[in-house]
Amino acid sequence: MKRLLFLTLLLVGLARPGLADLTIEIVGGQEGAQPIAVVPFGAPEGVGRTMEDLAQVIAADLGRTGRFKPLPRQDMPATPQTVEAVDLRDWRVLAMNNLVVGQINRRPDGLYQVDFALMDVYSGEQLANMSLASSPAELRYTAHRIADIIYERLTGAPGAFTSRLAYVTSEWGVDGQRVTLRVADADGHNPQTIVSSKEPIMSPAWSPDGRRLAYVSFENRQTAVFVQELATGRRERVASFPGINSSPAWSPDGSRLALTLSRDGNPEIYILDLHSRATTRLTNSPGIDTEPAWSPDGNEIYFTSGRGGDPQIYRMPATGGEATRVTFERDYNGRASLSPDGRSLVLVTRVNGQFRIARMDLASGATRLLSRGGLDESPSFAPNGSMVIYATQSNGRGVLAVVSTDGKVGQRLSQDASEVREPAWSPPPP
Amino acid sequence: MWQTARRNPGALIAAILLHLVLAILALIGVDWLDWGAEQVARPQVVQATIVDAATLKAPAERLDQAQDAREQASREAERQAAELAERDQLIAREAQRREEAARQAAERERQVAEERAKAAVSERQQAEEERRRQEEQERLARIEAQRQAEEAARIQAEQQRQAEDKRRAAEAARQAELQRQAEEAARQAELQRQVEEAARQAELQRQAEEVARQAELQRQAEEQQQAAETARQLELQRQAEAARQAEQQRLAQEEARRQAEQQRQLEKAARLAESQRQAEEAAKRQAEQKRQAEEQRQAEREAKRQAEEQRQAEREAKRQAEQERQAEARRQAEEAERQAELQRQAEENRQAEEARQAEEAAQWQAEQKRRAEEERQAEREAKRQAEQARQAEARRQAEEAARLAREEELAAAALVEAQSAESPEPAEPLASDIQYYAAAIRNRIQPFWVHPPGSRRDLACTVGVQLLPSGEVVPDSVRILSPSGDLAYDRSVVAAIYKASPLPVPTGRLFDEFRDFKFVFKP
Amino acid sequence: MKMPITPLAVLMIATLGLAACSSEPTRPVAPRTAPGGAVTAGLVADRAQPPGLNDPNSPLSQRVIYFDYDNSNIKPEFVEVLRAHARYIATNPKAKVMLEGHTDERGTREFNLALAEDRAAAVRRFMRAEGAAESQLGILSFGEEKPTQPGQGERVWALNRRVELVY
Repeated sequence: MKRLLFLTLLLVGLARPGLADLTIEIVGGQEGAQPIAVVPFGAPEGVGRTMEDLAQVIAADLGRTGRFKPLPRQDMPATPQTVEAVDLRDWRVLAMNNLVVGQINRRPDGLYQVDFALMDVYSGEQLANMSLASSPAELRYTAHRIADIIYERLTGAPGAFTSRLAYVTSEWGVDGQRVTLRVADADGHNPQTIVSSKEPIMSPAWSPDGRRLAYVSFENRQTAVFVQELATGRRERVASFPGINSSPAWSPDGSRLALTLSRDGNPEIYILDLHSRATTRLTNSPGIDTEPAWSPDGNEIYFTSGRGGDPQIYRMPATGGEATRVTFERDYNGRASLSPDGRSLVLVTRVNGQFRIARMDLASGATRLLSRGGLDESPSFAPNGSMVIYATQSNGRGVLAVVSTDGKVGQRLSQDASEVREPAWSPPPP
Repeated sequence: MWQTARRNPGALIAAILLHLVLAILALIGVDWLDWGAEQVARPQVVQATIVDAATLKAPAERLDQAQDAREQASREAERQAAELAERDQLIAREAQRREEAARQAAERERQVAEERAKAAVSERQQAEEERRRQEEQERLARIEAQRQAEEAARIQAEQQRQAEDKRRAAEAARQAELQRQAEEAARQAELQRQVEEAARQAELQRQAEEVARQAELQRQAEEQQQAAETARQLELQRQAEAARQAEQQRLAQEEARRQAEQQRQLEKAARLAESQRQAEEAAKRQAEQKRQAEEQRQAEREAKRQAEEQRQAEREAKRQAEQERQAEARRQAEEAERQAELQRQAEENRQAEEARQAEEAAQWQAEQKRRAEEERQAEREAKRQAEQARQAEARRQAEEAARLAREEELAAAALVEAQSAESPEPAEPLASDIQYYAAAIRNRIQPFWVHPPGSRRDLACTVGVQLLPSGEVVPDSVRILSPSGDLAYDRSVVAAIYKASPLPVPTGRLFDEFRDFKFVFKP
Repeated sequence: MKMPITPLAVLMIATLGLAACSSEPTRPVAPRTAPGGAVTAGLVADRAQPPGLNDPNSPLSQRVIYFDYDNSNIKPEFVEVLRAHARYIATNPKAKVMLEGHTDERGTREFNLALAEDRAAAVRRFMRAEGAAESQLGILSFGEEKPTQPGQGERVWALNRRVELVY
């Protein structure tokens, strides 16, 4: 009946040229997170209590981006678990845009089958309706996958919830400081220790395939760059020259590391071939050159140099050559990191004595401050380029924060008691 | 005389037929008779008689000489080919000129041949007349006419040949002068050859044709010839007539098409009115259903809304509590107190809200009633329009067989009528009214639109919307006409429109402006 | 996050064990982490020191010099101290000193690592000029990774911008 009516109206509409000329312009509106309801998933008999709460994980993932506002569970008028059980009017009343329902079932082979559907509350359209198999231990990861799918369907950009974070923590114990390099899910859960030491650990860097981490360790009271395979824990010391060995950065093809060595007197940028272990010196200036970062195409190296007096970002071909200055605003710019699309970089800049994260558009040179500042540092793009994670201070303690690339939505990541610093966002999972 | 006629009925019939034929010829044949007379008066035939054989022979000889000369020239041309390249342009022009001359000569020749042919025809006609008047001299006269025609043709041909020969002689002479210019000469020779060839061929063809035509003339009986002539004339007239008729037919078809188009428009108008009536009926029905359902749901929804209201109040309270918790240590003591306060406020709000909602509901129902009444009126109007259209259609069909011009007039009248039937209301919707409701719709939608944080400033999303007379957005009718490029942004736009439903819309005629329109959303 | 959880757990245990044996510093952290203001004399008391270094009245007992922000220049008040150390090293060929550079927490970590090395190198240049042999002088940069003082503020930062002389 409705369809017929619609068709009739459509015909009437089509038959009346000129009437469609009316255009109403809506300018403004409010900026805000899009309301979404993630209904608790149905669980098989008996295990519901102990099972990972997938809907909770999904809602938290979406909420953390600042782009979505999940409906609190206690406000849900119903808890449908299938599309058929959904009465969209329930959710329209609550002004939800989208609805996620799902259920978990046990399969004969011991795995779980997770079915979920993403619906448009107004059109009733199913924007996603999928079935994923998951081992009991992988359920949380499965929830991140679902969040990725939802994010992509609703924003058109891939999600980054199945990516991971590497970061450094330091705790003070009875025997002094303990520094640990950890890897956790993108929501901070499931932290795994990669390496732990009583001496500082610095500068974790993900290999492009996400399987290895390069980092700087001071063990044996000497800086050295290590490359460690995550799956096996096997590690190799790839640079241990006299002086500083620091700031490793993987080439996009994973075959080389750009790093900083001071073996020739003062800190310069070198390229280390991981196969041959040959080093090639890129820079040659009397000042400090450090913090190399590759452009995503691997053709250029961005780095921080004090050659002009103040630290500023420079750029040069990865094969060597002339360095050109990139940053000119303000008297301290460093620690550049390129966006996945190579169009912008994030950096640390000093504004009125405060260190803040800024994003610079490489084409225009315009910079936008992303963080409020204080002592913000170590910015790193999410693999989908939508957010930047960085280290900041909260109540005198180091914590991690994420901010959208326009600086409008920022959130602290939940942390335990230890001081956390130097976050590095992994590449997208394969 | 009468008896004689009765005795020979065949002869009588023949005589009558003959007279009829003559009468027809007299009626129809004026043109060609005049045309034929013109041909008789042509001076060329007279001129042709003064040519003698001797004058014909001389150019032929000169032509032979010229041919020899040309051969020489050709040889010379081969020898001097190298030194003459620079004169190419001049020669080309000359050649063109000569070619043109040859073409003109050929043209003249053709004209002459044509004229001769015409002359022959006229001769034949004369002979025919002679035959009818003087039966005993008929054959003689025919032979004479034929002979004369032949003679004229021959003379004409001879004359033509002479002229050609003269021209060729002159050409040859000029060529001889131009022997020094080998290239030109060569080209001339070629050209000459071609011209000659063409001329010869033309001549041969002409002669052949002449012969054939002579044979034809002889073979055909005079009656047949005349009949053929008549037939040709008739054919010409018929063709002209046919062309005229074709034109008329085309016009008629065009007219028919125009009429068909008009009919289509009339039908469309009728259909439109009908579908509109149906749509409105359906809308009305739906609105009625909705209204009933709405009334049923009202209490339920109200309860839900109140619950929601309370929940929001609670949420608000919680948020405040959260702030307070951060700010103050004495949170717990104050929490109960504040919540009580908040609840009391919420209760007050709820009561106020209830009152407001009741009032709103009453207003809404009154509005619905008013709308229903207006829709009924609109429906009556639509029916009247449909009736008018149907009448126009009936009239048109009745008069379909009538003449073209009449039909056109009628169709025009019907079209005007149909147009007037489409907008029977004298008052066009005022732009200011439309603006008023557009602004109301804008104000209604704006608070419902929450676009994603960080949307670029230059985004713009255009969507098409269809509304029911109640102002409700037709389910599934919101369609993105030009996406902004940001999927999340576009989704927020679509959601905002649905959330804002129903939109404030005018009733009656003015509603049509809001039946189907566009939004542009810009951050 | 394709990596299965079980290997991760194994890895965690493995690396913990590995870290436990491999990353044990060769020197105790305590001397540089003890609380204190500008006076650092007591810090070396528990170490086996060459003769003369133990005398609290000797300028050799001062083993830390401080720097201005974003600067590696040796301030005049520390010239005498460094001269005393240089003389001591020059007269004790077997003596070796490690110059450990530090910065405060402001600025990026990698740049600070370089800046701290620059401070240590400045001290080494000075001491060589005063007669110490290069082979006796090691340098090491810790950047901002090992503050003596937690917290923020100019007082804390001033204490962290330093070069320590570790015999």
